[in-house]
Amino acid sequence: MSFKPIDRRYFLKGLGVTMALPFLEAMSPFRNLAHAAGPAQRFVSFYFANGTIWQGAAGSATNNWQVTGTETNFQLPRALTPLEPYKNVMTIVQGLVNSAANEGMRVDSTTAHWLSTSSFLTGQRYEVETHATRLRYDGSSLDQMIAALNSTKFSSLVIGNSYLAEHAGDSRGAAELLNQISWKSKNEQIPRLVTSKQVFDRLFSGGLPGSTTTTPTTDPAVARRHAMKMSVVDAVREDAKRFISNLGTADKIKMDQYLTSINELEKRIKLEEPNTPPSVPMSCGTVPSGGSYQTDTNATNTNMIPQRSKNLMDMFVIAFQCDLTRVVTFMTENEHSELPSASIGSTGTNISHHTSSHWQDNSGLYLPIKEYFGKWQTQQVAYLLEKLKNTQDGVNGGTLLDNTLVHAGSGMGDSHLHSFDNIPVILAGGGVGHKGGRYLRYQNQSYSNLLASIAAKYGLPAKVGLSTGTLANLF
Amino acid sequence: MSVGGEMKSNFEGWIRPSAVLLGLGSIVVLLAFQNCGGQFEALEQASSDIDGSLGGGGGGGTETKVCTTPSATGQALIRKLNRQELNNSLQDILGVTGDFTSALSPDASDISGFTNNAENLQLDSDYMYTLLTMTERAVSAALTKANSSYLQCTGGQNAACAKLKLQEVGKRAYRRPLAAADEARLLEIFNKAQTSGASFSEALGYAMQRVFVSPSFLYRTAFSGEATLKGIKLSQHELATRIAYFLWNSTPDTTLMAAADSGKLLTADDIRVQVKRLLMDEKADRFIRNFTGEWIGMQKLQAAARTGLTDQLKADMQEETERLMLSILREDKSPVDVISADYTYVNANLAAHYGIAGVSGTQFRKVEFSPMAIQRRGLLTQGSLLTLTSSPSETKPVARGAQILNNITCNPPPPFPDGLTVTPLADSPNANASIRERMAQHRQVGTSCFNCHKEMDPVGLGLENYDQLGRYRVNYATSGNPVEAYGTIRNFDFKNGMELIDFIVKQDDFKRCITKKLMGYAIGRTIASTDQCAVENIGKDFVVEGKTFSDLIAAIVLSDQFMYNQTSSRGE
Repeated sequence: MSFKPIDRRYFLKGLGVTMALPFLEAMSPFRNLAHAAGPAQRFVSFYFANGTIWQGAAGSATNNWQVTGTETNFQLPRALTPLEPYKNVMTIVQGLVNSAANEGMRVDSTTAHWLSTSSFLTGQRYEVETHATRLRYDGSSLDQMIAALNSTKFSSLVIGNSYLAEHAGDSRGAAELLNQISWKSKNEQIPRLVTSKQVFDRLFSGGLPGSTTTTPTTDPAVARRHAMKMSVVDAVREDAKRFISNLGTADKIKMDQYLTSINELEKRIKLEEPNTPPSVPMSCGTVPSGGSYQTDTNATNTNMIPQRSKNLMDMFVIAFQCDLTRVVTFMTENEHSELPSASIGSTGTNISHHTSSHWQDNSGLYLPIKEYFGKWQTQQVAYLLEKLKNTQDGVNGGTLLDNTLVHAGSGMGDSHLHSFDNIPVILAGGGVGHKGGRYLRYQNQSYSNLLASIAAKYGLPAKVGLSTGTLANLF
Repeated sequence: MSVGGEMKSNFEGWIRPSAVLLGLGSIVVLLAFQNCGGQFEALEQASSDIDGSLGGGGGGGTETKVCTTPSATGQALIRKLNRQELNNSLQDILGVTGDFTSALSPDASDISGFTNNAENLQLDSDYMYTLLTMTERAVSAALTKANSSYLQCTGGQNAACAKLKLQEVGKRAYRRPLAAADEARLLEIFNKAQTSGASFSEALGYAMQRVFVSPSFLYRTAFSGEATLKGIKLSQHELATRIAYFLWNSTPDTTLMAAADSGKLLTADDIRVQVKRLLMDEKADRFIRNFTGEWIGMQKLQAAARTGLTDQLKADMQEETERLMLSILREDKSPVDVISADYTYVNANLAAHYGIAGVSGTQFRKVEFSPMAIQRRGLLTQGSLLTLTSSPSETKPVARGAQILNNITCNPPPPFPDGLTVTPLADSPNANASIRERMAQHRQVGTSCFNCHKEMDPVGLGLENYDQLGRYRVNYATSGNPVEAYGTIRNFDFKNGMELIDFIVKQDDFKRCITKKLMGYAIGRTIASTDQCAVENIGKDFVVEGKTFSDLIAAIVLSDQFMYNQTSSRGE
């Protein structure tokens, strides 16, 4: 059985009200639903490690993130200068408080690193009370909520630039908490891919859509291969059901995870049914070759980070082009990163990022290095924006940037004080109707409400973690 | 891999409470943290008799009473294969080579840094999709290699032959004899494929792939034997599986499976025979290297980027530590040697780095310390551990102290006090102040700093003669001032690192700690307070001169913790 292209592309999963809508109404252009009407919407979230330099006068060396000017006529601070060419597609949001990270406790600077990652996309925080690797409340992260709306080959790409315990697990929290921002549920983090080869193998080992025959195939071998894949998946699902019937509660949870994964896998394989019109045009992109895609295999090699970062971004741009996924989260560094400044090309004194982020320990030496890191972070975003702008969108027409929302920032405010007020965050791109060229400053508004505002634009309920509403005037 | 439990402050080695803390709220904090004595990680209950707690410790609490609380063993969850185990299993079962798991995400580690803890291993649909692809590749490699045994059938390539092949693969993959129903299900896939026109090879391939995607392959169970007061006993096959993944990081071989089939894993002697056989096989190298690396956090060494630390040096440092462990196993030495060894293994490059004369060539060879008056002893003075607990430019005594408390004595500092706001010290007015001087704030008795730092700091400072790359130094390079590595721990005064290590060797902590770490690694769950008695007794009995590392391993395998499981799950 083949689906009509429009059904398959805009398949909605269990969103309550929207599911109940008859087909026609769901197509109404007046509904603010990213999926039921209009082009496929994408979401990219960048995580910046170790906070920002954010004290004192705007424009001074001790404050390189503070924007100056008015809402539509503003000047970029030092750390954001790489984004100058993209001002008109960018909204810089300042003054937000990450009250969720501090929820239920007095200001606690010592667990800030763990709170920063665990709150960045969840709008809540990890279970500080026990220091356990789980969220305090039921829920998932925003990227996963958006990913659940899609039926692309990969529900999301969760990637990072290296894999190591930057700060070994200690009593404040496990290393895993510093390396993850995506959560499937309060207990389940999403493991990241962290080398060029891992992402390459994940995305391209099946080839790109449209890379085989353009005409419907009558080769029984192709149909058989697909049918057998479905049978294998069906068969192991039955294995799991038998397995689970004898299990106690704790083991059941593990096997439930397997069953859920099998069910989601089945949906995905269904999409690969031969003789179904592909949702993207043929030759949507080319599999990259040469360079370090195959050789970058050492996840702890931090010298590879500059090249790896580009490789990863190049690859997920292709993934967007070919509609392999629509959601990417990218940690440019792990939280508490001790990446040496020399690794990203600094010719000054070689100082680790985390050391430099405690710039008040030695401001003369550390400030310029932290600024260098700050610029490197925004350079990564600039690189992506440029690529998205220059890549055609095979699914929707126009450029990829037109229908991608890029979100970047951190869960922490000032890096030295480990504060949670004034969270650095940028939005960019044309996705979900976002229009840039604005500088917004909020007072006493929660960062979680920014996440909720984004959720609403994707057609989700306007609630993420501990959000209390949405931000007025954000979109 | 990730570092296990290394404790380090935010600020590269020194912290102090801010002035704000000296308000009302802080009094509560101070009172609440009087006793920083040995407590286990947050997951466990403290049991101060057993952990060498600080106050009454004296000579490490060496009353020779035998711990007798009955071991109510904990619950081991169904245990997914991690990446390495998965790859090794595919290779060993299918007889193929290669890394099939490159597209899988790294495994999550537990608080000890081990990536084989059932509690932390997850999967999702992306994992399953990748698994489908990789098992297809692995099976294809097995079927297309020259003279593939899977394609050789005496009576011709037919369903009967397929059944035989699938029985063989299925049994190895599921690690137990197949029930008739299992066989029928495997054949179903084969038959279906053939009906759709697939060749023998292609059809067999789908059926084999199905085997490797099944939860029966992916998950290891520990609940199929009889129910007893100690918990559910592991079945013979579950025991064989647990032993094989412990010592080989892979599936049981046919000999071990045969022993399980015929009930030859029931008596302690029978089990010891198999344990010894597996340890003598070179596949046990995987166990030693893997365990050691995750135990001390070798990944952090490999990731470090600093002047003087070349890739070659990192590799050599890692090799040195692994060689020590391998030699302890293969030469039947006592497990105590890990920290007491009066020798190490170096090549020319590493020897030159340490300033050890008389070593040439790229081969590693044994060097004895005493004859050359070299001030080193065991793991605690090896470059790997010393480097990964340092910053690029200087040592971090708090990190070193924490590494030792977490991984060598299993006496971790208690959780960082909630609500404690710290701001870093201003730059010290004395530019030449030693690290010891800069950490003076920690030594103010009665503060919440002191209660945690009173053991961490002396241990770390005791190793100050070894710089940030593990080189021995008498004076600090920057100031020229002499290194002072004295300290007091548990009322024992030591003058330098050698005396400190001597003291640690004499205590019971390491016995308990290495046993605990090995046991957690072996059974894939977090060791809890109910296991402490067993850990204590095994440690005292086997981490001693006169017993070997193999003896210790056998004792762990024969423990209730290994052989039983407190679970409500039941096998079919």
